[in-house]
Amino acid sequence: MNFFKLKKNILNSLTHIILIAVSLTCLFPVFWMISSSLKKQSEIFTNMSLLPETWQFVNYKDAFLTADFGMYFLNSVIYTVVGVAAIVLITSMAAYGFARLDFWGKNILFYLLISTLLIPIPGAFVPLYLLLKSLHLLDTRTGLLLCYISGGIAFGLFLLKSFFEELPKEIEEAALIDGCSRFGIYWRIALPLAKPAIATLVIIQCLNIWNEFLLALVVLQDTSKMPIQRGLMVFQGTHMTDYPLLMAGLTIATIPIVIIYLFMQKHIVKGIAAGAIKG
Amino acid sequence: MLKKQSFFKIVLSLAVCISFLAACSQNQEGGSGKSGNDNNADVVKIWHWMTDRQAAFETLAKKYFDQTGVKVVFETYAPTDVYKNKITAAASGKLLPDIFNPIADKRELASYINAGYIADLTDAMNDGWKDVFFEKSLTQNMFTDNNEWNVKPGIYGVPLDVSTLMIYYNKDLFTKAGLDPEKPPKTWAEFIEAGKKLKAAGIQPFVCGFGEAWLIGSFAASYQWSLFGKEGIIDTIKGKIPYTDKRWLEIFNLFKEMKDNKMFASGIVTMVNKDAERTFAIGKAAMALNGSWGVNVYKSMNPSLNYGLMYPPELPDAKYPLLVFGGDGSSLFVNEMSPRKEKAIAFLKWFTQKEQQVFLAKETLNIPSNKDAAQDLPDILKKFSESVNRTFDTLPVLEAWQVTNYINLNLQSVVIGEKTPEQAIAEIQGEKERQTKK
Repeated sequence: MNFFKLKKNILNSLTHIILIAVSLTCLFPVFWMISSSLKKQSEIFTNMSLLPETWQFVNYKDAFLTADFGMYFLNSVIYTVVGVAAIVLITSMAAYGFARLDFWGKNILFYLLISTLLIPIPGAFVPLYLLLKSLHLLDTRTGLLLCYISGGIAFGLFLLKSFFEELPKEIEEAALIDGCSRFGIYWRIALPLAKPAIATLVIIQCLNIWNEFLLALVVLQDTSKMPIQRGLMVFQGTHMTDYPLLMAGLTIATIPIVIIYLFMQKHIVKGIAAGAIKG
Repeated sequence: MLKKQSFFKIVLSLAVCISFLAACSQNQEGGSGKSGNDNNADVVKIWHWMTDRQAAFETLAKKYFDQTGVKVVFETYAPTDVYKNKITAAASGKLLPDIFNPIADKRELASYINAGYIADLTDAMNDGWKDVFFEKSLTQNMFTDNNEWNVKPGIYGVPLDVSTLMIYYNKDLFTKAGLDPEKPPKTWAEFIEAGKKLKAAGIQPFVCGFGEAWLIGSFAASYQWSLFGKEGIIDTIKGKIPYTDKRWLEIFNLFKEMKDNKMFASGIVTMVNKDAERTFAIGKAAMALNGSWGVNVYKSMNPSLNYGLMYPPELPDAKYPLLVFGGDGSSLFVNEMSPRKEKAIAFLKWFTQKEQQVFLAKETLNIPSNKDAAQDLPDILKKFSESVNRTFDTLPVLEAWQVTNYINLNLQSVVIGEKTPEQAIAEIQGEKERQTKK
């Protein structure tokens, strides 16, 4: 008995040591980012300690003012909220259709949509640019938002379709008998039940849109429409980088995503686990 | 259930409201596919990637507006790969700004010129404008008679600055190792001797971002110019001199000698230049091969760094002068299709005059392309500007990139002791023969 208890304790301890070590490797860059955001430029390269010699809180103020973060922050909030809401709405309806409705060419259409996941964004720059130009949407928020939305559809479909397929059909059949329409079933039954998968989709798309920068830079020219990542570029030169202000800017840019993640944490684990089993 | 419904309704309403606001703001701003080459606005637009110079550029643009009433707007798009993507996309849509740089090699630049995206500035330059520049700085944007890309001979770009590669050395570490900080090594033997003394004092003698192949290639190329001269290099490219020539063996042996004397910083062949710069800036290595931009970088990383500059050490048996990589830097090109072409040229003429160039050089610590402006620079930049006249000459033919790549890879292999110099040159010659047969 004692032997098994000892074995269990050793295994538990080992597991915890490994998990702590992995956590530290994940957290170290965050600590480094925060620590560097409070140092002087010269200190970043000469003082390897995580504790700054003098705490430069002024870096946050400088970063916010130099990079015009207020304007970029608002833009990013608009792109993220509208983009994610549209992705959730469109993909949930499409995924429900693919999961529950039978129509000609369903599988081909589904795999065709999913295959767009294989196209890297930089590879689509020129065609997207030309398309937006011909639609007179170049250098507009709508143009950029449409790119974000279309970019998020394939993944959302992939995630939600498998989730909807696993929902018990009996509930929907009961609703049908009670006179509920197809849209009513989707809206009142399927969508609320898919909350864990939707939470996962929301956080992943929030991260994607919030951190996206390349497409915005190609599509937009008016700096007043640029997202927050553009602000960070101000601190990076061709040959040199202002690390303290860059790290302060990064910390500011990270906060909203961390908050969203904390709010949705409990759903995300469920959603990813469900997606992993069913997908 | 009611709560869930309300939640989704709120999200939906919010999305619709914000979409509406976003659309409204577009209408107010008249955002309907405005281009970099917008016919309605009487503003000269410049797209560039030099984020660290934006403030200085804006100051000069304001000054130009005050003097001429012409508004010039500098728009930054960085990093360079994103900037390149933007330029490519804008060129496809014929939406390039008035002034830009495709950040391209000569072959790619030629395709932009042949497609009618870049204006020929020869006439404007011949009006006395070209005399203000270092001759070397113009050659990067110049196409000569019978060039292999069929570009009409002429000057197509305006150089803003120039850069060269030299060896920085840490004076304090030299003193610590018993070396005279005011007399850096001039010959190869002195260089190796200095390396030994530094090593004995527990100091890493030499660092460079050899993980970036062009840097190791540039260091070797200095000795190629020194041992072969221009004609010898052309003959090598044409296949008249093999890479197994004893002079190539000598070049590879230089790297082996440095390796045998433990002069290289650890991990040098995988090191990117940013890391090499940091290593030198914090005093972890005594010498660093780096570009003139390093002045700005080291100042930012460690303002108290006490350093000097030296040329790569000379070889005793060299028949030709030792030259260094460089001469070219950032340039700007005028959009041939721009309705404001003349205004753009006029601005660039003003922009490259002495007063503006001195201001830019002092603000950004780069060597100006205007040779008169170089006289008013801090000592270290002046030294760099003097080296512009000792940079590699322009060659009428280029080595196949595959062969150049082989040279760089084999240099790296010699540095880590993976290959002997004899093996390395034999492999390069093999690749040269393969490329010649193609």
